[in-house]
Amino acid sequence: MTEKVKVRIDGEVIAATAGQTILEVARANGKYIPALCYMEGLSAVGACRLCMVEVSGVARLLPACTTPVQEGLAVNTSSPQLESYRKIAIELLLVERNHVCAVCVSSGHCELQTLAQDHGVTYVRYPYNFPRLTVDATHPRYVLDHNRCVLCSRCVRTCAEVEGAHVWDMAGRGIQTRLVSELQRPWGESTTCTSCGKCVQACPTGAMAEKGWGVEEMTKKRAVVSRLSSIREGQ
Amino acid sequence: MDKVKIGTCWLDGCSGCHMSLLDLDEGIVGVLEKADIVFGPLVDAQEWPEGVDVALIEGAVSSQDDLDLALTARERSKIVVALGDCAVTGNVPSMRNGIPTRKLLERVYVEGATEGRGVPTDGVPALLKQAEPLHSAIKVDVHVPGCPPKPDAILFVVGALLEGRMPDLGSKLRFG
Amino acid sequence: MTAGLVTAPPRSEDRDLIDRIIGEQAGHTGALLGILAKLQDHNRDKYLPMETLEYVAKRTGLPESQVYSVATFFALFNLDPQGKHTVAICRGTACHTRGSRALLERVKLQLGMQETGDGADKVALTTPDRRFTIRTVACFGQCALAPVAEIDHSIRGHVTEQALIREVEGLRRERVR
Ligand code: SF4
Ligand code: SF4
Ligand code: SF4
Ligand code: FES
Ligand code: FES
Repeated sequence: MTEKVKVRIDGEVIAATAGQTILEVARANGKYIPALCYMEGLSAVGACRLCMVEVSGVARLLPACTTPVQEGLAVNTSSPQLESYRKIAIELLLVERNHVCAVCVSSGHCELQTLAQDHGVTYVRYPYNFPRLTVDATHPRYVLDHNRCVLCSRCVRTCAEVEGAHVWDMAGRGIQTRLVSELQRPWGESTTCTSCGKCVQACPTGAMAEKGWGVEEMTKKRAVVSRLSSIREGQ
Repeated sequence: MDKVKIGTCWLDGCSGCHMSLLDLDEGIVGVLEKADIVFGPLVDAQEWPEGVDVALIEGAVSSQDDLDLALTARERSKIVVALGDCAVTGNVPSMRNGIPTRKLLERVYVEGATEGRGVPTDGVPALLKQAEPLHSAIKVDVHVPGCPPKPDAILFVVGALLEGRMPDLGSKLRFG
Repeated sequence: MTAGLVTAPPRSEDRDLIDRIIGEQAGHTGALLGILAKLQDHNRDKYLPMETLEYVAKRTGLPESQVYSVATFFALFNLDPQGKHTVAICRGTACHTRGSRALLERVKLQLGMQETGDGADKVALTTPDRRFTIRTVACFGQCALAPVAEIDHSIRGHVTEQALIREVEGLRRERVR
């Protein structure tokens, strides 16, 4: 049963289906809400907090990617307060790891970089963390550079939900959290990776890339992953 | 009318931002009609002069000399612009920040050297613990990221400042 | 060593134990947590060897990365052998302002522990003879007693360097039985 509901997004009345999230409805109707950990075709986890919106009658901000719509819901997608929170979230992502766009394979095609530019982050107000991190280049075709990882878990979900291999997960907690393959085995020695490359395509930043590309050269085919996922769901 | 005084310098950077500055082509003519460049790598002055209106600073703050120059420039200038990713984020110079300076110097000057091994001490400024963005050392009024910033972004910013406006980079904002 | 202890790599009797524990927990929500907790408890050195995690993944059918994720998320689990005695120093804000860093450094020095290198504040170190493990804790929730330390599961408040040294020295003198 698909129950139809009416919601308001920035004042405009929109017809939606119950169970859809605010983000899905907004996107389907050409409304912009920033998002990073959300990717079409994957489960939503609400990890990055970039998609926060105001919902009337609710005092706190809600993540659009995990909040389902209901009849009569009224959403505000932008306000000075939201804008300032989004900026803070972007800046904190930038200080956590080492983002050196000038030498990054994804520069010019990176979702984090684009978010920073679109939201007027001309500089970061917080001190940089400058952690010492490794690069896993053991896989014959792909590289994982922890310096650029934003821990969005899109690769984790892509591998688990679309490819069905579940090579990746998050180890540790807090500032120590790291993406790991299997029992922290180097990617190249993974026994479950099928080398399908879907995680690489899903990764929003330069953290995962195909080997052989130079600075600014790595472009990703995210839509392919989303499409594969919808085919899988249709089966 | 008095001309606006511009000072420029580079700290720990590759001079790419200054190249981009020179790349303004005929744009630079318009700038020089309204402004004088009173300090910088292209000017003879030995010391950052008093009364500078706009300081364009390239590079991260990496050594004691960088820090001293940044402090002087700040003290003697009305508006400070952090020019380029190194000045704005630390960029490539900051890639050494996870390594203790002593180890870093040894790796480069001892392990990495084929002749004349040894960490130089004479005539070189002491390295700071980390290469930091300019705003961690001094107050910065305008940030212009980019590696290097595109000439049109620089022209836009300098143009606005010459007219006494604070620039908003908008769609010209670009990292990397 | 008594029977039923899990050591690495899993020997057949260890595998039987793991199988039994997995069997008991099967179907429970959060079964993995219970399995790992039980296994660590049965381990002589109170930790989860990689081989054990690998075997658990194989038997439960869970992805290895997920097992590893759970084992590293909870502070309760150790992936390295633990010392006979545990000294936990609180590095929470209240304890920090009351000098817990000095306590940590002091006890590290006393037990001859190497500097961790990166100056990390989060520490879990074991002496080579496996007699002591020093670890840091984010906050014991006893901030009024800051600085707080926990020695073999008993919480001490208002800890001074002298008191800590004396106590650790006492444990160190204790004859190995
Ligand atoms: S991933 Fe690369 S392009 Fe994206 S913000 Fe980080 S360094 Fe810049
Ligand atoms: S390449 Fe495919 S199977 Fe291997 S980790 Fe990535 S998504 Fe998983
Ligand atoms: S590797 Fe990429 S997709 Fe995976 S968590 Fe890091 S940023 Fe996200
Ligand atoms: S997109 Fe909603 S929290 Fe990341
Ligand atoms: S900070 Fe140490 S007990 Fe809370």
